[in-house]
Amino acid sequence: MSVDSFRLIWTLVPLELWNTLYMVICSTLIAILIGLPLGVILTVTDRGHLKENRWVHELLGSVVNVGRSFPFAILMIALIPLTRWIVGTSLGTTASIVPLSIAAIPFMARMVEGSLKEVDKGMIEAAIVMGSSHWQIISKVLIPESLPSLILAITTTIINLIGYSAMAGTMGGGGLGKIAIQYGYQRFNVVLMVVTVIVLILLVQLIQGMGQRWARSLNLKRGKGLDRSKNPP
Amino acid sequence: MKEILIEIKNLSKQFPSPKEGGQPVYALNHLSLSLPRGCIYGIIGMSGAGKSTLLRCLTGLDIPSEGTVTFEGREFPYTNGQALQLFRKQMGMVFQHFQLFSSRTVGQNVAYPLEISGFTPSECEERVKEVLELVGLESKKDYHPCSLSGGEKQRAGIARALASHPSLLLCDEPTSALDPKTTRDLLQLLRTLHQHLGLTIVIITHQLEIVKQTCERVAVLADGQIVEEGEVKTIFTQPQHPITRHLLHADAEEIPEDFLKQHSPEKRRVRLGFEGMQAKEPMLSHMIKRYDVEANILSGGLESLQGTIVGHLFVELSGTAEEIERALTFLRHQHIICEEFP
Repeated sequence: MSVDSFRLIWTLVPLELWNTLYMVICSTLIAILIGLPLGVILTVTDRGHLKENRWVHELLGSVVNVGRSFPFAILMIALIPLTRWIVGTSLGTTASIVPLSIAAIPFMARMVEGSLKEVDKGMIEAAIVMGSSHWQIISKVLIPESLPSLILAITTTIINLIGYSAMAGTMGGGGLGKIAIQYGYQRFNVVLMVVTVIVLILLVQLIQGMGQRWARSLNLKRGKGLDRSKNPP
Repeated sequence: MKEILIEIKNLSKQFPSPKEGGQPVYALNHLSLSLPRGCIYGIIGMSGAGKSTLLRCLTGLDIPSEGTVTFEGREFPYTNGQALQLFRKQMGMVFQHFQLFSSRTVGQNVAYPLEISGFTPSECEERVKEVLELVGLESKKDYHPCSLSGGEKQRAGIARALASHPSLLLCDEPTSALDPKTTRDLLQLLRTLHQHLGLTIVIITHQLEIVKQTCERVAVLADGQIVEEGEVKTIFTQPQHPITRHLLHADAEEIPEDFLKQHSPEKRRVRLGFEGMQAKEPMLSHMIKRYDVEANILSGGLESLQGTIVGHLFVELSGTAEEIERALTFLRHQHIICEEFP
């Protein structure tokens, strides 16, 4: 490997890795901030749940489905006017956060809905019978009880966002995707390409591993995944 | 008569018919019942009798189609969410499957009803310690529910139900998920709590044993109605309704059918009910010695009812009509309940 190519990797990869992380972290936070409440609304308005409301459930469900049916590349282009209006430009790392967040919010909402629905109905009724308000049930029962599953949902969202962010990089955004399009595709720099791929694999492995380990440790503490809990006395 | 804590009046709950155009199904059918304060009350019924619907109406999980429930002199506010929350905070509930929050330790579980009522953390801490001591679980405060045994889980459930000083403890099949030994310990705990705190306890169950061991009064629920109600001892020695008899196994059904068919008119079939001392005396043998009758025992049993022995015998008496009548009068004088059965 030539000194030049080594220097190129050493300057480019950490910088674009940081850009990727920046985009992914910001859009994950926005997705949690908006997607979690939406997931809660989707859950509690469902039939037989805390605040059954068919209209809200169906309407929100359709909006979420529409959001999820866009392939990311198309969503990103379609959102250019919105991005310009919010960030001032549709190019660059910060601008990518807008389409990334918007793609992640409905995904997050569905994942959260799935996690919250795992909470046993008997337990929710127990909380009701103890005199809890709806807000107390959501904040003190639904979310804490499904926390391990929520952590896995967020992990999956982050990994999806890493994939999307690379796509954003190829279309004017920053991050590791930009290296791939500029050096791998346009200049045939195989070494740089290989390094980028390895970094991405490591990143995904790291995040998946951390999420799973955290969820598993919570589950173990709660006796799930132990034989004891499968055969209650 | 003691003061009434819960007054259920004319309570009905109907569900739409499972078949299209069919009659609606009554889970509760104009049910009325008064539960006195400071009593351990059993509500017993077979599955499908309407126990869970009754319970859901008592906690506001289901809204009755008709009738009212009055708790502490005030009518249950089924449609007013906030008032309902306040009502529920005055009842503690113990669940069949414990329903402990797995995300919380035992102590945090017990603290939950206090937290939602706005107690400060230090107040919670103090009360949690108190109730955990009450149920004998103070050493398990920082454990997660998953590491407890079934009996300990239910103790934790009771502690949680008691945390906010409820005036009523509602128990839904509290021991159905427990083994016999743990069940006895748990019922003992309920009795102790009742004695020490003067707590009103309502136990809803299909298990006769629980009522027998624990309750002072009992109501028998069948087809959405109370078919029999009264002191446990009375109900057990003189069951009136066929369902009660069935639950007590004190039914002539136990006698082989062939035998019942060969009934000769000169014989009389009588169910004898004993209680306390009489159960220990050989009354039947006294009767046979004194009078010229013969007794054929068809079926029978003895049971212990919170220290009192109660029993019943199905006998077939043969002899002359006058002699049988005199023998029965003798038994009645000995406070033995004599009822003829077909």
